[in-house]
Amino acid sequence: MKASIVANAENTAPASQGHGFNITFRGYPTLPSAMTHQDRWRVSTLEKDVDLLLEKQKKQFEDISFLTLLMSKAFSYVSDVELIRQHSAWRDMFRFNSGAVTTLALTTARCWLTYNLNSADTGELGKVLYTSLSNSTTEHEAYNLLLDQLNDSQQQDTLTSRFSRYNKANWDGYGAAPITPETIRAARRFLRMLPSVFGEPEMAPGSDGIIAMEWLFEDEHPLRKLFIDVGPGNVWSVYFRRADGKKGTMPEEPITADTKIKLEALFAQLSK
Amino acid sequence: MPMVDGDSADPYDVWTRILTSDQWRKDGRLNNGAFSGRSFLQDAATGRPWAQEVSGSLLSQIKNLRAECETFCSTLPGTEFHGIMFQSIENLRSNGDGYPRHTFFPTDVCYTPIEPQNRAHADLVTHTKTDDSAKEVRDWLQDMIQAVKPDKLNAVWSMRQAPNFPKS
Repeated sequence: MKASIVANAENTAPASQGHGFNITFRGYPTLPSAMTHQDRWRVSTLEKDVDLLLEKQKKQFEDISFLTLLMSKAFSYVSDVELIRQHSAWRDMFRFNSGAVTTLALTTARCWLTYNLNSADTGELGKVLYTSLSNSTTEHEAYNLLLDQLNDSQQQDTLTSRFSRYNKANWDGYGAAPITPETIRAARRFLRMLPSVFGEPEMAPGSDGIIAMEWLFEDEHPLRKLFIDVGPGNVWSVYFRRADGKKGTMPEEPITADTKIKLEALFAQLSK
Repeated sequence: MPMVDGDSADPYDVWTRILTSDQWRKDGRLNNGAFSGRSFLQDAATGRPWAQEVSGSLLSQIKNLRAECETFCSTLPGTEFHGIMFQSIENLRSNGDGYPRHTFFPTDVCYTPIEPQNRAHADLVTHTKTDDSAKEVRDWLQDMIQAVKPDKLNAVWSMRQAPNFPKS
């Protein structure tokens, strides 16, 4: 079966962001608003050739695996999640019970639609969803991870467009080391964990293959400078100088889940 | 008396270094990343009486600032010309008294010509190296070094008109 989902109508935007959008199947004028149970589209009819489209302002977003989930979940067409496992190529994604998957998918659909109304980038969506599910052990954790990753996808554009050009040796003509995709990913993860108390850092490439983040302060602030290097690779290090001239450093260490706690402690300490 | 290799530069001369990547802050200063890395602050070449060095040029020895900047960038594929960092030798020479103006270790600018391709070459040097000195240098230079974007190169070139500027 070849089916399509089109928001409202082709080439028009959904009426509301994330909720209450209308869907029509390609070839069908409208989707019946109250389908009987027997009319519900059975997952068994879904095969790999399912071709779904969501269109917004003439931009076409395609992601077969995700949209399969979206459609089947958001509109309750799926009576048995196990069928998804059978008929999709990504059964290993699902480590949840059926109820958890259904709830997650519904939330995901809203989240995804809201995101897409603000961003034209859906290329990574399947990967994002997969990562959210496969790296989580609870529904709540998967949802939070998904949100993080969607935010990351927006942030990724900035970091990638800014720093991927330095992924070559000697980009500065003085012998600089490349800023690798791993370092950019590490910076993305690191930024997600940064406390907001000092605001966004100013960033620049460093010739050791690092992304140099910094905050400069004036007037009554107890701190004058805070430098944090991310990279090369998945590591970070710190240098700071207080208003009284005292300096401090934190040696290089890997970016892990604990980094967030360390950053919060560091920023609290430097705020005094 | 003309300078020879290893001489301290004239205090009224100006040390310059070409900016080859976008390391500008939004407020017009340079991000500390511009002063980072082992290719920026290198261990001193063998036989040099200092600990570390940053490669640059003396304004008094440069024949045509814009041409030399553009030539430098054009000879290295992918390198972009984003401006020039500069400061007078007087301000970069430090006895290690500490902030605000001086580092905690002595610094200087020494003439180190590379014959024949770069006769203006000069190193900003430090006389001490510690585990933290690289980041201290970044901190210090961010405060000390001035910089201009390519459209303001004339401002640096005009420093040659200063009364005490050394004759090339």
